[in-house]
Amino acid sequence: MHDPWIILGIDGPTTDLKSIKKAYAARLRAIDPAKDISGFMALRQAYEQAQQLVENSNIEALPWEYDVGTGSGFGSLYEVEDIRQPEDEFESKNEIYRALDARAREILALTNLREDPEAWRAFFEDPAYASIDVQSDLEHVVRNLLLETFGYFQDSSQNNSQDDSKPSRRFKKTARYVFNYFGWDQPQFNQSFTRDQVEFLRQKFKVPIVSAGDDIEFGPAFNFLSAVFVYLILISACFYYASANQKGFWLIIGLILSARALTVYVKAWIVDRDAALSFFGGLLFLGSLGYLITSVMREGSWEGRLDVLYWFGAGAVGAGLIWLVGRVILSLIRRR
Amino acid sequence: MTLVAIDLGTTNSLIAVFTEKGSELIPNAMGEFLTPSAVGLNNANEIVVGVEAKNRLVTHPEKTHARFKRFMGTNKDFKLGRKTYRAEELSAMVLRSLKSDAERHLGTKVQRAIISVPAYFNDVQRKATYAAGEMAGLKVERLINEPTAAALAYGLNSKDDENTFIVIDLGGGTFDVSILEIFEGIMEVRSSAGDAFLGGEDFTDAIVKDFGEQIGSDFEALSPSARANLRDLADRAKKGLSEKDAVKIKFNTKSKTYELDLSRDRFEEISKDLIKKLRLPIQRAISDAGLRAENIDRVVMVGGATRMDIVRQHITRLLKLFPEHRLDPDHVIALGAAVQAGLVDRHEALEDVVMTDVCPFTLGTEVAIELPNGQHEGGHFQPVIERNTVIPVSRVVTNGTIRKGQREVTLQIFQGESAWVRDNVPLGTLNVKLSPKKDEFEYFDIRFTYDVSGILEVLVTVHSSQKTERLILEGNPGALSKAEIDKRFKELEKLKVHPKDKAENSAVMSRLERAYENQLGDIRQVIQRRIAEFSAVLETQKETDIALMRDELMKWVESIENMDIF
Repeated sequence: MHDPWIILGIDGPTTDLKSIKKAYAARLRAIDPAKDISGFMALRQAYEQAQQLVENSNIEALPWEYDVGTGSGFGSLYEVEDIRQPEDEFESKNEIYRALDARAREILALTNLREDPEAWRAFFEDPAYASIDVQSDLEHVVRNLLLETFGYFQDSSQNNSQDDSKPSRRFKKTARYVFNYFGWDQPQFNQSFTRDQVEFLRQKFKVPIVSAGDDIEFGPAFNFLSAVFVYLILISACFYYASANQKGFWLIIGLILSARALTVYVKAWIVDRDAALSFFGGLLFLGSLGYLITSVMREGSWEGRLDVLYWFGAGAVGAGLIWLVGRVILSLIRRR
Repeated sequence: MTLVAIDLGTTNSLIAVFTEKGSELIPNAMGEFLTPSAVGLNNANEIVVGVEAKNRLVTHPEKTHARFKRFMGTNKDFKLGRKTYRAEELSAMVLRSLKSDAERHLGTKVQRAIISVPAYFNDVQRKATYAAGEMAGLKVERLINEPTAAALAYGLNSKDDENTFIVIDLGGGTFDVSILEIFEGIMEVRSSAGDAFLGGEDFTDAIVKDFGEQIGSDFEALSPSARANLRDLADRAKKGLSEKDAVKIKFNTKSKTYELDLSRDRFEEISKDLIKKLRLPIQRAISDAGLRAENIDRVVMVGGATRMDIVRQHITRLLKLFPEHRLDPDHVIALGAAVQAGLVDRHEALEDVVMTDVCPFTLGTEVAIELPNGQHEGGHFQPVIERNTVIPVSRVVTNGTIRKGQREVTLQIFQGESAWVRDNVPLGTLNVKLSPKKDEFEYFDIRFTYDVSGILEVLVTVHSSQKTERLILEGNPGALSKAEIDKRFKELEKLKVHPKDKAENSAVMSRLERAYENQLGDIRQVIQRRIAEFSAVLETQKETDIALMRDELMKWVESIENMDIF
């Protein structure tokens, strides 16, 4: 690591943020970041390093601990920011934090409260807590409390205590509201410690990730459905004609159409696996239906077609089974 | 060579230049700064853009498209007559129209541009924006994040101050929040966050839904054009609320007339859920910057939707700070982008402003992690460039093969914040051939370079051979190849575009047609007669007569339109 002071052009270490910024500004003006990427990065790194050094020296200068009420020791940004406040202002802020913590513990302690989304909603949307800073504190309080309750801070070598800290089914359902409120169900976290913590809670509460604004497009599925219909009718007509009149030509046409139908199916599989899978079941179902219709057409009567009805039923059951098995396999693959 | 700045918005687009006097907006043929981002086909099968197309959204919804910015870089097809277009191509038509406005206004050829994009746009969407520019015959010099542009528009005047800003941009379809710091003439973006699916149009949709409830069971049976008309009325009702406590709307369909109303209280009630969505991105941006709201000195509001009282009130409640709106929130981005154009050209007046930006999302690769039992578990996300890192940035990670003697490795690039790649956005795949000695692991460096325009380049260098591979996005459904862009550019060139000098006339005509559709009874016949008169004057091709009648009709049709809202 290079000496940040040399890169910034400052004579020796300083704790004056203003002169650091001034030096950085002067050096930055001398280069074109768009062209000199490595030069810019070296300067930027030196600047951030210098800022960090100043911050560290501030913390050392104030050698008292900030009690976050949970004893977690997480949330370093929070602590640093609060140290900058004058002492009396800090007291009142700490009071709000304690009030939030107390109320959250109250809700969490009682089953009928913690399993009721309305109790959380009334707490989160309390007009007295509307400002962003209080909301940040609120998130911090709730996150730490949940992590504490479900054993995140415990030493991972003591595995025995993990089993008794599972949320109830109803609490899991309620948790969806809490996660949604803080955006923990969106894949958007910066500092790696919050990412780990939120991931831990997500696993505990089995809350799925929602990506904002997922537009559901029915295109491929619908196209596929209509394709299945058209192809089935065409293919069964061809095979029917070929077998009834012993014409090889129609047999070949039928085979070509089948091959084409298969490629359509493969394409649908690539675009939307779930849809294709359920349509694979549908294909079987429709196939047996098509067989029923064509054979009745050929024989001209329903008589002796009971075996076809049997195939029809078997096809429907088979379709259902394939769909089910496919879903299970897919979900297993996805979970890995 | 003039460098123009373009705000390519979801609902409206603007174009501006930087002159000695500062940023200057360029009016379109209609004399307005805002060109609606709408494209359509007129009755002569010519492409129409802007107000003309927007008016036809009501009368010909099946031949007109708007709000396509959301689909930049996706494979969604938009049908116009017999042809289908991608969102990039429709955007290119808007850009082309802006370009010709600028050329007419400036009297020179315009070939270079800076285009603004939401900070939230990913790599694919950014490349799509570049492609749109190229299809319009513009060389896109740089993309600029919209909030950065907004801050430039405001920040330049106070370059001697030390300030921390929050820029809150609620546009037609996107919500962006950025934190910026200004010191010593340096403008630094500290963080940005947002919601790609929240905008003023969602508030209009809420009003439409409320109107739908007032209309009752008939609502479902409304024709597309009646629905589009209702939406237009809802939008005007929304604007009306900034002056009045309640508005009444007269909505005509072919068979019936409905009286609808909207009060401020009701509006507040129906948009409660939307208002709540404002908090999270703001909170995230502040915490990403390592700040608290009390450290913020100024709040800048951008985007037409920030004119709504309920939005401003809520922001004030959240930040305990009154937002400022010295500039027109609709113009801010274009004005700021023009400042950036001045910067890129190293215009004298701007020599001492430098700015740095951040990468708004985490970029990384998929890796397998070795489990205690010696097996490998794939699907993990390895961040290479963390979100809100100052750009340009170039970072390297070194990975190795899972097996000894492995001959090939498939590297997948992702963007997102989840620990699992399946929840992140895939950007591309790179196959690297290896030629290791038997029974040896192979190692390789992966270098991510994210430049000032937000374009990502990935280089992979294999340790033993020192061979380097570069990422070419393949298997990516949203990205167009260079050849495809050129092909589409040529196709767009050939398209028949409605001539500019006639645009004003047809704008008036389409407004008359829309008024005709919206009205009933006697007034309809009057409108029809005026349409016939205007067509007759247009036939004569006497410029002065046409202009005279056009101006008169413009005022007249406006008074008719206002009859619906009271």
